[in-house]
Amino acid sequence: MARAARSPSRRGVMLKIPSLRRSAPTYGGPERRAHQRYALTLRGRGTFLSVPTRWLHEKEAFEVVSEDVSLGGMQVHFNEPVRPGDAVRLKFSVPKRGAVKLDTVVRWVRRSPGSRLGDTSAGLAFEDDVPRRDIEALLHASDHVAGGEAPGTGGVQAVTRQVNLPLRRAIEISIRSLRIRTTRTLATSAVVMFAIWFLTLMLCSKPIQAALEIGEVITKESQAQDLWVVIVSMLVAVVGITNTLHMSVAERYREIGTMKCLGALDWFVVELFLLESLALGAIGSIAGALFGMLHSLYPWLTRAKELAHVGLPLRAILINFAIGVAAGLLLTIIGSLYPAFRAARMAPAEAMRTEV
Amino acid sequence: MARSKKVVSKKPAGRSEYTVVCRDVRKEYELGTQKVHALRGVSLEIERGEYISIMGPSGSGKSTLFNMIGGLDHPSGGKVFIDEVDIAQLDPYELAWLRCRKIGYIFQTFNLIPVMTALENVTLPMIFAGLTPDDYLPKGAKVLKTVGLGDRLHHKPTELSGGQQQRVAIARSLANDPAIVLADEPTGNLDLKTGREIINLLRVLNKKKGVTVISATHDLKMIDVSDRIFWIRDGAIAKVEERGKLKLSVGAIGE
Repeated sequence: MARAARSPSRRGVMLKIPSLRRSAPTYGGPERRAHQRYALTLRGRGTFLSVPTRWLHEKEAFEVVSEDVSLGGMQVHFNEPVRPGDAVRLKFSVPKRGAVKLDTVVRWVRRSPGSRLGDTSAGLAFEDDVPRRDIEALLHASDHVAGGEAPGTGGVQAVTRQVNLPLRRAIEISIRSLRIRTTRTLATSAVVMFAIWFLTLMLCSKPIQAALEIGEVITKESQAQDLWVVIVSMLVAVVGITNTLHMSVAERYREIGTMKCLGALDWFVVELFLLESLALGAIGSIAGALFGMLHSLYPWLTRAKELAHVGLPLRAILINFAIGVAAGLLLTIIGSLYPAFRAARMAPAEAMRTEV
Repeated sequence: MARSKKVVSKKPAGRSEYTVVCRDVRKEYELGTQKVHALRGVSLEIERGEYISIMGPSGSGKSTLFNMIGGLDHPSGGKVFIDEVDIAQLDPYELAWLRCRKIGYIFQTFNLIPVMTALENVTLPMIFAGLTPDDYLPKGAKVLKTVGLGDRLHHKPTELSGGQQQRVAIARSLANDPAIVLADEPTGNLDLKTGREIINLLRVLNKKKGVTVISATHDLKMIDVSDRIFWIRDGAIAKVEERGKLKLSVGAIGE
């Protein structure tokens, strides 16, 4: 492997770390590294930086183990698909230094299925702009490796497995939550439904009245009146929905605090409430908009025979239906996400002692 | 924002025996115009594998100290180190990892999620830790059996007695094999007999699994099983007692 010239600061400089065992490449071929290798076990996290794979793995960091580090790069083991040329950012947590982030480029990849360390081995070369002291910090960290796999050990083995909430689990938890809290779910959905029913009714009435030429002559005053009616119905929706959702989340502050004690990240909590409110909001909004739309068509339906020749303003009605659904969903999400976000950001002790 | 490097407590490099270190921890609350000093400069060290009780009357600050040690709240001053790492300088991910895997929490009010069964409550932290149902279901069942609730896996908290709920909470705190278990008044809502069972359970865990147990309590039954007791009063440590040096005489109700 022909390596591009390394930055001059690192070329040919010997690093003396007597406590570390020097190692030779494990695959039996000629030495491909420009610098001395050391054998020490490091565990850390990696994320992909390359654009194509990044969108797949953006949120997820994967576990990385290395037993072979030098100033120029390291050999790592993990369970991810990589190709030569991918950019990987590694993060190790080193005592006395904190997090060390290293940007690397994949040079070679080998599959080793069934290996205890991970089914893929790759050679990563450090990018030129990785400060030498960061790499040295890793190598010197071996002084602090306590050697134990026991939980609570200090040393370089820091964040071995991610704290995570897969989407499937989140959906399961949310659905279960909604089903168990049936009464509360129905009541909250009902608020959304009625509010959106009213809103959609008001929105749809106008085009229908115009088509039926019902009502008095359209004047500026009656137009303003109609607009105000729509505005009021919107306000009813806004206030009613956001208030109800806010209350139903706020009464679960203690639950949120507890989840944070179990290791939930802020976005787990927000995600769970988002899923719940999406489901609630979708059901309520769609039902409400549907009823509102049918309600507004009622005068039409009762006089279907005589009105057969008049064209139904279908497009306007469907647009208003969509507006109703969208408004309901939006308000549900806003109403529930704001308190959920606030509670998730609180220190758990505060969230658990908040009385609503 | 540039994050300063983590401050490490001044101990020699290598494995330290202190798993929890508090240095001059202070906490103040604003109550209207007045300032309430919940903690006034508490310093302590706790070794790995110890069973510690923090005892004191109501309002003495033991729950506040509990919250500080467990990373559930931020101190107004001073530092808390867990295994040589200053927890105030952890980013949210690392803090979540700490709470998920390193520390288990037990509360006076149990704090179980009411819509989930016992098994689901216990396996929730396992889900956060990234386990799949194939892994966490048997593990959850096993840990519930350890606390004596093997036959009540699918009961909801409302269908369980107080003592059983606390057992579920203890099982949940052990879900990810933590190194430290923090208990805030674990026997506060329980009757005498159940309280004794819970204390025994904690003691067995401490001895058999080597888990460091730190319990904030005013239950005097805890004195028996603790290695060391920190007596706290008015926000400061008044006294530290070691079990060997305590003179205990236990009264009994005549039968």
